[in-house]
Amino acid sequence: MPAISSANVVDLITGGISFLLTLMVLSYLIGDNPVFLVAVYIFIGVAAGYAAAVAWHQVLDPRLIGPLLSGSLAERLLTIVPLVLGLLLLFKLSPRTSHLGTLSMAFLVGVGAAVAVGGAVMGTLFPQTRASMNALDLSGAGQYWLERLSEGVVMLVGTVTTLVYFHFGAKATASGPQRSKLVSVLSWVGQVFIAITFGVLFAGVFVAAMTALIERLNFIITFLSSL
Amino acid sequence: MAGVLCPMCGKSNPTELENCQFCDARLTPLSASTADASPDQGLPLGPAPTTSSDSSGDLPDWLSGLGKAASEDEEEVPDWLASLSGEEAGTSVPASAPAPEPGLNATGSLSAGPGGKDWMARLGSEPQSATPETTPQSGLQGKGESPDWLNQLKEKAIDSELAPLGDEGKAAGADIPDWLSNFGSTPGTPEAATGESLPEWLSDLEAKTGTESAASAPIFSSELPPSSSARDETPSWLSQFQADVNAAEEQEAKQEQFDAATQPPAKENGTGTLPDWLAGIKPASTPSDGTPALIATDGGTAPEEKDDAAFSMEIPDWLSKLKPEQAAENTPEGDTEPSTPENLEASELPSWVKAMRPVESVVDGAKATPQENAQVTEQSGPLAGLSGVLPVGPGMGSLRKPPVYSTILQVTDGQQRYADALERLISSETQPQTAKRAHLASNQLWRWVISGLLILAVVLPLITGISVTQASKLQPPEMVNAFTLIGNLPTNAPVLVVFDYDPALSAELETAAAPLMDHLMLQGPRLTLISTSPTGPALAERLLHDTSASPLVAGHNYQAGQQYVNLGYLAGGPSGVLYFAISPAKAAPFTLDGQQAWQLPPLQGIQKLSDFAAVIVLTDNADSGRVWIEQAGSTIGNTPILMVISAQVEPLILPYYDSGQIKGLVTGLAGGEAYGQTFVRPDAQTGLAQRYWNSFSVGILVAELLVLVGALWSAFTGWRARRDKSGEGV
Repeated sequence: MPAISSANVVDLITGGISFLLTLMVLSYLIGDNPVFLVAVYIFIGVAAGYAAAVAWHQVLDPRLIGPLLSGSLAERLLTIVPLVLGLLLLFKLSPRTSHLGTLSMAFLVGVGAAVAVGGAVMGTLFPQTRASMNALDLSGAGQYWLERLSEGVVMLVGTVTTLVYFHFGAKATASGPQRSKLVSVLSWVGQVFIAITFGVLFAGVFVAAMTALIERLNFIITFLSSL
Repeated sequence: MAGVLCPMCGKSNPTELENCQFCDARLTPLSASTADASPDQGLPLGPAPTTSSDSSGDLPDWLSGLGKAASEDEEEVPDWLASLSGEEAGTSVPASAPAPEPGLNATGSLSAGPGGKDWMARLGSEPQSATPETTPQSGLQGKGESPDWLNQLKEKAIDSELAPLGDEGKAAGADIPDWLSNFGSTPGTPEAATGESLPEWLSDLEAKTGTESAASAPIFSSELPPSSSARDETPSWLSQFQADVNAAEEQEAKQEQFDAATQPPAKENGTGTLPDWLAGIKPASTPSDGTPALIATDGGTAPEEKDDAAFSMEIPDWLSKLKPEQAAENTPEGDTEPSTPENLEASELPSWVKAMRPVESVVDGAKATPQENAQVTEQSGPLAGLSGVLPVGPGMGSLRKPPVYSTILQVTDGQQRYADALERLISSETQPQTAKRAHLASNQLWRWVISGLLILAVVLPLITGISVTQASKLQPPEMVNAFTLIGNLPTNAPVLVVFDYDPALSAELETAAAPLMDHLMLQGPRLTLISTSPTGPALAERLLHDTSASPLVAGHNYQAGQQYVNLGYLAGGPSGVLYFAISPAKAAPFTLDGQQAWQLPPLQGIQKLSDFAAVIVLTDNADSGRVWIEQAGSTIGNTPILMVISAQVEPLILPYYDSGQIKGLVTGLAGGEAYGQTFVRPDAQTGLAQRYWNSFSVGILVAELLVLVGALWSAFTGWRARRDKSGEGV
């Protein structure tokens, strides 16, 4: 009988725990049950605990506590600002003292909004607009000009009709507000594009879930075969 | 109901009250209080009421003579009392007045003996002892005509009853105080004012009894009730006659009260309807000498008179001719309450006349307001004790109710149409709907069936290793570009790898990224690992070292600090990414184990983000991938961004590849398998992507079949439902 190494023991224990947790999650097939809930609670608790540990070990300790205790004078002075702002955020826990954390929240929201808006404008809006306009640019397409043209037309039609679909303006008629026929047709085409997009998103989610299922079943087979 | 109208406010008050119960004004003159009561109490010397005189005028002479008999009964007073009368009228009562009879004792006024002080005191306290029953007698007494036999009887009674008194009457007359002696000379004395209207029988009596002791006799006789002995002696036919006369008197009194109520108070206060003697004393006894003329005018003008004046302007002639007398004729006899103008308005005016009335007469509150103001009594000043003289508050006009506006909402046709539409919408929400039949058992069964099919489709290829489908021959251009870029990286090139995915999708990301990472690590780059997810650093270590995650990648056995640096968790989200893009060394100065990262060999020569040869982002979240594109795009320079993403975010990340913001893209298991098919290791080993491909293909195929079957079943059930519905409609 071969000797069992410590690594093998650890792998066996961790493999066993993973196996049990996998079965507990798969028990959802028979409906919502306590075993599944226990697995969910364990996952949430472990994730939160791990995130807290990471925040302490990789953010608070090296970026805040360390400079305060062993940093230079400049580092200490600079560290006081985030320390005060961070402490003020703790007052948000109580409704009576939550106003004390308004300054920190204002700083976070203001900076976050500025960064997000600036990045969206410069990183998404302008480049995507330019790319949409260049979709029908056949220069350099060569022999694939038809494919390039078709792709550009589809992109143009899809973009325009999708935007038309979200145009809710209508004229008042005797039978009630109605869209014009042109808008109705375009919005119907846009609705088709939106449906295809949602279908693709669902397919992507299903494919991702299918891959996770395959990986878990492969793990179970591997674990059981290793016993 | 008989009453006395107040000269100030014009309201009716009970006769026994001296002051008005509404405005507290004096109802009767101070000096004529006793004379004022004479009509009801049957004062023999007082001026007979008009009604009494009128009614007595119809009586026969013999019945009128009863008054003399009654006066003879009243002459049964002591001589001293007669002396009072003598002082008053210049006549004297015989000194031999008989002793008081039991009937007189009942009144308590004559039984005090010769002294006369006690009974005199009680006499003043019981002026109302005269009952209304004496009214007919007094009425009869008012007429001086009596039959001879009654005169003789009177003379005999006087002679026989007053003789024993002797000089006691004179003594009693001597004991009378001065104030009482002078009483008869007061201006308010009825006899002094109306001596000419004395009846003849009384004049005769006074002549017979002399002028000595007759000063106060009329007064006392007016206050004394008729002798009970005299009533006892009255025959039955006379009592019956008296009752009839009383009834006639009461009826006439009612008529008089009605006339007084319907006539303006000014006329009542005038001397026209009052006796001469009362008219003479009225001004002297008016308590409101200090009342301003304006108030006297208002008080003398009844509100009803104002109403009459208002109606005389607008009502037709026939209605203006409707006199109160005519209205009184319509009043039932049994109704003892005198009709007021308000009652007449409310009961007899036709509707069109009511419509012509002013608003104050229609709105109750508007009419009640002046009455409420009239109830305010002045507490100080010259107007103290008077009510309704001044308005409630200075500067306040007449209080009126606000005009009544219609509460009906005026809406247009469009508004009504919208309201109807909203009502239909709400009504449809409140209508109960039939609950659809729930097929929980079928759903649970279908869940198990579908789960079993998928698990079987996945497990069978894994167990058997049978190749159900061929390897993917598709090579997406984004994957090809990624492969090309990785293949073109120089040896020992610094590469930044971002692990921004969660453990839930680690299987897909690890499967997709393993071929690319294997290909990359064969180039021998210096890897820098970082993550914006707290679990990212651990997943990065797992991908590099765990053989269960990726045997090919783990086979490279990269060493931390030598070949790669794990910078750990980058806090701050987009701000942290921007900070890292601007200044990587300051944003992530430490490694996962706390070492100074930027002093380690893998980060040598790296000062900014553009110093990296490539940036590879592994993410399962579109937002996380977009953040790296947006925040690092402006500082990354020519450094290409490659992405390994989950299949679920491909529709959202692929446009950035089309726009050229990212240079290569590997998507999901299919992308990893395609990358593995493109990149062939020298030892021809395959990764998990190829191992999972069969199961993945079979599983997707089964899923597509299930979706197809479900769509067909849904279409079939929908068609059947429509057919059943159309059949029911037919």
